[in-house]
Parts: sequence; structure tokens; C-alpha cells
Amino acid sequence: MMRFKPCIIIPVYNHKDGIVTTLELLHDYKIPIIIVDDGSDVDTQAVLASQEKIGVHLYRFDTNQGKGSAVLKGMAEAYQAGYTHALQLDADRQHDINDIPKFINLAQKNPTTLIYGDPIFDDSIPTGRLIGRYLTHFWVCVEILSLKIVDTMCGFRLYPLDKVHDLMQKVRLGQRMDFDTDIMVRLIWENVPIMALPTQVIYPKTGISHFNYLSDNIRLIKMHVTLVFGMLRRFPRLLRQHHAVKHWSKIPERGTPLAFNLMLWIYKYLGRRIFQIVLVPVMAYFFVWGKTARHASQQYLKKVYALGSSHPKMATSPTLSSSFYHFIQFGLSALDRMASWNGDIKYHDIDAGDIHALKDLAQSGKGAVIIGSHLGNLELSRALLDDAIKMNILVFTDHALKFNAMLAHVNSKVKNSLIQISHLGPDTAIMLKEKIDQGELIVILGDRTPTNHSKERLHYVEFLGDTAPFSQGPFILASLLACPVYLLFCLKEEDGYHVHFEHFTDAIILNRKTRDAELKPVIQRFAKRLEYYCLQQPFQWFNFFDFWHK
Amino acid sequence: MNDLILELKTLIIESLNLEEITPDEIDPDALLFGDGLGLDSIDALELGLAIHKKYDVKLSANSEESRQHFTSVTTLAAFITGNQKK
Repeated sequence: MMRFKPCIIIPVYNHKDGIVTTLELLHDYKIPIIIVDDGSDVDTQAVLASQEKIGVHLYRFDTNQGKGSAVLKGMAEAYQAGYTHALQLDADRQHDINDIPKFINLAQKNPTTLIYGDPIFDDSIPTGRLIGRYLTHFWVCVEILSLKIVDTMCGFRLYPLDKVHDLMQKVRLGQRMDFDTDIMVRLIWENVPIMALPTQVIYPKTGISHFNYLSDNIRLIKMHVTLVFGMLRRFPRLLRQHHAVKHWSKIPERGTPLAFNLMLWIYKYLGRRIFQIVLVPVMAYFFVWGKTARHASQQYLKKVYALGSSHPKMATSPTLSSSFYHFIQFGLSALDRMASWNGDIKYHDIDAGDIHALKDLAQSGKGAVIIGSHLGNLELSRALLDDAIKMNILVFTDHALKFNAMLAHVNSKVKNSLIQISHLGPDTAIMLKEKIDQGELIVILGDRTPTNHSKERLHYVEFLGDTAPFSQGPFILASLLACPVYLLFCLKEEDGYHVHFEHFTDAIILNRKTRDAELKPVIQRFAKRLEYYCLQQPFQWFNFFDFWHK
Repeated sequence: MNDLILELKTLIIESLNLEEITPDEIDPDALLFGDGLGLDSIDALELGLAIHKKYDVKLSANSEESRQHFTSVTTLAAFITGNQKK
């Protein structure tokens, strides 16, 4: 068990009346109190001196140095004195002292987390403040690459002191009104988990605010400029960082990588066009640094070209720019996936023909296996089906797992339709069998790239003019489940998405002893269908690995 | 219990077409997958369905727990016995 020793820190600047009441109210909680007098007038000094006599720790600046300086001084002293956590509280009674036990309780359970007051305002908030708050929210969202609004202005929060101490050694934090936001953004950059605690905030009529509209606003602008540049410098790391904004009343949620949040944020708030524009430099980055993917794309496009594709961009031999186009299509497909789960791609955007056949099958109550692929946007067809239709997509790769888990965050329908499989065991088979028996559909990808090390059973079959290894797994699974098998491709064509849904076989029947030999023509037949569609829409096969490796 | 263990060993051999080994050669406590018997994921699927067919077992929603039942022949036998009583 980690040591837990909290204290309360209150910066005071001429809050002579408020502070006495505050201290009286705090008395019951029996938590040590540190007051930092930020150069208050003589009257306030006298009041504070009387409090020191009854056990409050008092530190004093001769001249006014700013709220940030005062709180930092208090935290440095608290850390030296062996306190592990500090609850920051304003002296002017804006904050609801009754919430202190909640802060302490949460901090005890989450000792490494910054617990921040998420203010609930009553009508007393001045309009100017409200506008300022929204501006700050916007900039903070940019600075920490977050989709969720995180309040960084409320000075009612509980810090883990070791983290603050480390940060103070590294940078000079905001000394004045810029302090609250500055320290919080930087702690988030340091990957300190944060948790919101909703708390009532009032602006007392008698309260004195020391916010100077001109100088403090200039200070805030300067801070945001610094932070935005700081964000840009940390961009790659922040994108990888798992951003865990927890809410006090919820079970800790799974963190969402910032890159995804950023993508979704751009899509939601700036729109599809801006997303497409942003996509270009992002894909250029992957194109330049992703050597394996770039090579794989070129290798694949050359094969398509050699076989002859009707696609207009395949009229001449593929170049580097064809591969870049391929990358961009990949990004756009991610965009379409997000859009479809967000409900922005409607039924009529998709060619109706085959989706009816798919619906009919789903409603027939006869379980079936659908073999999909990395060609096109398989999940788009799922997004169009009703909730009542159970179409389970098996996802294996870690990458897809993450992306889908994030989509599940956006739309609960995703969660219900994905079976995330980290291992294939007997239990998985039983679970799938039960689903088939209940008339559900199971979608499995037929062109997963087998990894070099795996002992997976493969068949080398002809695909785009060369032999490539295909995993036997999906086909054996379909055979074991003893149900009809279909193929599904959802391709983006000139006039929108088209669903291609075809019957593959009533059942893959294999004799246990001669299975290997019997399976090969089945897999070959699938590879040929995949090839057929690849030649139609070559830039939509999103398999950026050396697929033909021997 | 011993009868069930023998039955399961035979089921494994038959369903996975492991003609070269006899039931006696299977250590009931050895790991079925990974280093022990060395079965792979396809074997796992087949075995799962063979067991489902023969014993009509029901699995809990907890996949971690379900996975534990298939550790070895012994754990599998215990699971099937428990499942049939219900």
C-alpha cells in the first residue's frame, strides 16, 4: 500500500474575510493546512497570523508574486515535509468544501491520479468568464489532443505531489493566473492520469477576483502559444500516449489513443473536407517512413498491372505516386468507416442490389460463414444492417482490434458485432458453433497475412500471377461449422459503395484424411474471386505486407 | 473419471487424426496446446467442436475461464463432469 498523507494548500491574497470562514469549515476535516500569503495587506496578515497560532502552516511572500507562485511554494514545502498529496483550494469560498471527502477518497483509491474539480456553475458566473472558459477549452483540447473537454481552470484539485515535484524540476510553470491550466496540461503531457470530480462552483457577490482582464489575458495567450508549440514538439509521443480521462463515477475506461481521438475530432468538428486535407500530410508521413508498407504496395500494384486492370489509374505502369494514391485510399477508407458508424453514410449511399441478399440471409435464421477480405470496406455493410441482425466479425490482429475497440467507443453497435479473438482455442470454436446454431452470421477474413514465425497451416495458391500463402484456418473453420459459405466485398466505386455478395458453397466438406489436398482447390477458388475484385478496384486492397513471401 | 479420461484421449486421437499415438502415450496432465501435445489452433477448433458435439457442453461468457477448461485432459474431464451434472 502506498503511503497517503494529504494536505490542503490555500493561496491567499487579501481574502481577509473569506479565509476565516473557510478555515473554520475546514477544521472538521482534520487535514493539515498550508496557507501561502501572496503579499497580502496588513489586515489580512494579522488575520493569518492568528490562524498560524492555531496550527495552520503559514508561508509568506513580501510582495505579490501571483497565484501560481503561491501554490507552487505551498507544494514545494508540502513535498519537503513529506506530504504525498495536496488539495488546492481557493480562499474566496468559490469551492464547495463539502466535496473535500470525495477528493480524498478518490485520491486514496487512485494515488497516482490528478483529481480535478469539474465545475458545475450556477447563474452567478459572469458571461465574460463563460466565453473565456470555452476559448480555453478549445485550446486545451488542441494542446492535449483530446476530444473530451477537460476543465483546466478550476483551482479545486488534488495533486499527487511526487509528479508535481518532478515537473517543477523540469520547467518553470505559470506563476500567475496561467498556473492552473499550465500545470494541468503539462502533467497530462507527462502521462499523469486525470480524473474529473464534478463540483459546484459559485462566484460569491462579495468575492474579490484578482483577474486583471488585460495583463492576465495577455499572459493566458502567451501560455497557450507556448503550450501549442509544446504540443507540436511532443506530437508523435502524444499521439501514442494513451489518454485516460476517467470519470469519478465510472469504472475506469479503456484509454483511447490520441491519434484516433484527433482523427475523430477533425472529422466531427471540422468536417470531411478538412479531414481529407489533413490526411495528405499524415499519409505522406507513413509513406516516407513506412518502407515495408510502401514496398508492399508497389509489389502488389505491379502484379495488378501485369495482369491488366480496367481501373483508369492502371492504364500505365504504376509509379511511386500510384502507391501514394493507394495510401490515401487507405486513409479515406478509415474515414468512411468512422462516418458509417457515426451514421453519416446512409443506406442509399450503398448500392442496394446485394445488400438485400445479405439481409435476406441474415433474416433467414440460418447461420452462415461469410468470408471477407482486406479488399474494400467490409464493415460498411455491417453498419447498414439493423441491430437485430447479428453479423459477427472476427478480428485477430492487434491493430484491427484497437481500431475497432475505439469505434466501439463511438457506437455501441460495433461492440456487439465484433468478436475479438486473441487466440483460437477449443472454446472459440464452441462459441462460434453456438452462434451459427442460433442463426447468426460469422465474418472471417480470408486473406490474412500469415506471420513468418507462425506454424500456421498454409496453402500456396495462385493470386495475381504468383503463388501466395493463404491460411487454411478460415476455410477449415467454415468446414467444421458445417454451414453455407458466402463471399462479401464492399467496394467503393464511382457512384458510391457497392456490396458484392456471392454464394461460395453450401458447405465445405472435407475428409479428415485427405483434407489437405481437398482444401487447396477451395482456397484457390477464393483467391481467384479476390483477384477478380482486386483487378476492378486495385487501390482498395489494404494489405500492406509482403503477401507473396515464401 | 478414469473412463472419461480414456474416452477423451480416444476422442482427441480420432478427431485430430493422430494415428501415430496411443491413448497411453498421452499424459493426462500435459498441456494440450503449446509445448505439451503440441496441438495448433486448427486442432483446437476441431477438438472444441468434437467435444461440443459429443458432450454438449456449455461455456460461460468468461473466455479466460473457458480457456482454462482446455488446459489438459484432466481439466477437461473435470469440466465435462461438472457440466453434465447441471
